[in-house]
Amino acid sequence: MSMIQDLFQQAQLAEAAYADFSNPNVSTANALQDANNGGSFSEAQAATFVADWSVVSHQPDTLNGFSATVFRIDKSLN
Amino acid sequence: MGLVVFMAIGVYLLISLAVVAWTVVYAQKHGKRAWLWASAAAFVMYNLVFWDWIPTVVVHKYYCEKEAGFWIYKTLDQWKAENPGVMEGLVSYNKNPGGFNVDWPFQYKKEDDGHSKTIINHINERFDELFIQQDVTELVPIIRKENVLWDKNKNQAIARYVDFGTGNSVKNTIGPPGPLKFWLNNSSCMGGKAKQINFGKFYIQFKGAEK
Repeated sequence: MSMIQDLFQQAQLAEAAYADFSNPNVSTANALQDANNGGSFSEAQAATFVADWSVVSHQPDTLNGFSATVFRIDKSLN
Repeated sequence: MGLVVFMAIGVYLLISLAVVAWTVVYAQKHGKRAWLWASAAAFVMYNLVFWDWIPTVVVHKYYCEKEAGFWIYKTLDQWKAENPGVMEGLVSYNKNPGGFNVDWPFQYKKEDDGHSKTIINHINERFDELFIQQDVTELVPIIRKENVLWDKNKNQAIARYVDFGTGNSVKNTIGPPGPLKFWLNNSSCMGGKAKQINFGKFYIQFKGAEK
């Protein structure tokens, strides 16, 4: 993967990490585009992201503001 | 980013104090009532940044009381009774069975010059879940959020959850880390999160068998 593609993947993962995935019945696409819940993806961005990545685990905001999401790549990006 | 925001707030506070102090000196020099001029200056400096805070909270409260809620129009058993044998034949389109979140294939549409956006999640052959976001007004940043479980064959809603969030807009989403006026951020009405969870638990019953 070229450096630009690598940076793109890292940037979109960083952006996706702001979304709230705490409700398992809210789809990844909904969470990524929920403007008032940290989701700032456009439709095209969300479609591209969901095609390649899925959520493995999510820790919503703790009292001191920590949150984390683990994503899994579903196919090779090479 | 947080540090930059706090520094910006600090600088603005210093400028505001300087403006108020200068106003007091000016008023005293010209024989005016200093406290009145200082209050007016403080009011102007406050409203340059925070003018939309109170209107946003008031309008949000109004919409939460008027329109927000969770409604079930037909339970699973009622739907099954009306459509015997259909549920047993439905197969879930979830691309991530056993995963942390559901992943439906989806389409979207934008309307109202970008102020309204609908994500159409295809749950199975019979049901869609619609996620509709709409700016309620252009004056203050409030989004009406609606989730609907939709029976495609009968063109009718089975359940609906309506909520309102503040601090952002559908047309002008900024992020990450979200809008600069972070004090306006409120993702839902009071009790909205619990209703969202209940809606999720309800609609997922209609997903059909996993592949």
